[in-house]
Amino acid sequence: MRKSKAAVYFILPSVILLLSVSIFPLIFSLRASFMDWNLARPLETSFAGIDNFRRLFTHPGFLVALKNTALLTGVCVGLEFAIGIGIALLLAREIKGSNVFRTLLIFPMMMTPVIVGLIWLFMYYPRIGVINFFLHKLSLPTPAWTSSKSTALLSIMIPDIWQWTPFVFIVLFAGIQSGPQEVMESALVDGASNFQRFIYITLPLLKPVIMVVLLLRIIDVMKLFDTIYILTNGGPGYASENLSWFAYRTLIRAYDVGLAAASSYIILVIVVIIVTILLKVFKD
Amino acid sequence: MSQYDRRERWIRIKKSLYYLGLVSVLIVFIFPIFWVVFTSVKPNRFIVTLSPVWVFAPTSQHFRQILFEENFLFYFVNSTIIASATTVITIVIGLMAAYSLARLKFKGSDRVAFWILSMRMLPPIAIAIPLYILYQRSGLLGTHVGIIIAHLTFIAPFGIWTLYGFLKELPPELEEAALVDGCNRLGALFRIIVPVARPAIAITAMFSFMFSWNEFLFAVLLGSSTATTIPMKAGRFVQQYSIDWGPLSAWSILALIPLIVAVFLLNKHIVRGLTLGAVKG
Repeated sequence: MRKSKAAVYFILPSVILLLSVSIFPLIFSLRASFMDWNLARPLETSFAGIDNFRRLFTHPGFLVALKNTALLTGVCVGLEFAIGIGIALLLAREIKGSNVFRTLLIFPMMMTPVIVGLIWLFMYYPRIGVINFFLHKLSLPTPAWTSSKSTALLSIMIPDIWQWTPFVFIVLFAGIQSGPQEVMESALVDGASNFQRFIYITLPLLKPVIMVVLLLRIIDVMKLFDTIYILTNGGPGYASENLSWFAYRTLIRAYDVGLAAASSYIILVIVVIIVTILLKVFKD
Repeated sequence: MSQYDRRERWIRIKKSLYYLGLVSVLIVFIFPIFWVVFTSVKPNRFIVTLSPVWVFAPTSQHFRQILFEENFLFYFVNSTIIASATTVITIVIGLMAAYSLARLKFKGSDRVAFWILSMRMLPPIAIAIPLYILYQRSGLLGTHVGIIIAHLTFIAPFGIWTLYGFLKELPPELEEAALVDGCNRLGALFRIIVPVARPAIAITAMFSFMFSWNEFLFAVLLGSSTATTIPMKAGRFVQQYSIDWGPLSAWSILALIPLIVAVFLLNKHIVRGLTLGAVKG
């Protein structure tokens, strides 16, 4: 079978599946974003042009959500990668025990995000929660994690990092393990130090895997919803709202379908831009 | 102290620091889980206390409650059906798609790859509402199939891209030998690539299963009383002013068990393949 023919046949099932399911939501949302459609006044639905988009950029909640999303994405993905790669490297050297370690480390990822949120909510309780209990014992400040403006966003970041660093670690570790080992061995023979091995050999080999994990994590953090719902509800005020939450609140609380659809598409556009940039960077 | 003794000492210090680091990492990541297990066997009066209670007589009342009163097994079966179907479909079509993208470059393959990834980019709320309307009109609302399809919208792209990343790592000459010998593309895929990519496939399957198993939004919105999943019912323990921590913890722990089993089963496939010699041979 010719290469290009096989290529198309192989990818056809996926494309058909995704296309058929996504086309309706995409068109629906696009249409809605150009309309003034409020569920509280359903008879007044009308075409509104780019009104919704204009309103978005002057909406204070949207701009805060934008800033929060940027912070969340930067800190969470950054730390998940730093720690994840660190652990993967530490473990790559010791073979014994690495299996056990890796199996144990999967646990955070295996929990339902909603339940993870609840567990952390429980641990975050200012007076009776475990976290403040230990902080108090160490004479450290004991903030009101989820209800204080300064720590609300932080309290969202921690469960995400806790739950997804293992993901980064496991995938990268698997990448290291399934990469060609002869190259690493020959480098050892040539006398390269561990650190040099890492920078010049392991890292470049892992580029495709790193790229994928980075993309997936960025997309997922930008969509973050469950933990915000459980822990802070976007509060206090707008302090811990992200774009996903903003869209939700606009739809469910303000009943403004048009505005919610518009904000969803803006999120889509932002993510598309970021992903495109990242793909270009990694394609070199 | 001779030079060798000093070197020995330094190596031993490095080793203990190394183990210390690993153990602290382990503690940080495992502690919340431990806390849940701990809570699941605590009698109610010890759970919400002013300072954490560490010593108590464990009880099985929460587990008994969720197994017998809340009918855990029913949700378990449902979740298993949905997650298994999602995983199998994802791996089958995902592996083919990833192979196509990674090996068989065709015109516009980059665009298609990007479009597949973009399926994950919309906030779930934006997809859920239109899907609800679509399902209502097509009768898929409240069915297992409906939830499976909804899960596939974001899990299939994940599977495709993860496998794509792994497959790109493999040397291109890998299947050349078989192709020259007259094997067709599909055969090459199964006989050569799959064994080599076993760790990648196992991991992707594991994650896909996990994501489907733990998914909350679509299950709640598009499910029904017959097509409910474990996470969906977990919300029941959260009432307006109080949270039933005991049964909730027990529920979470039981929900973990199938995942642990799945991890165990797949673990032996995640051991590094030793087939790299096949190319040089």
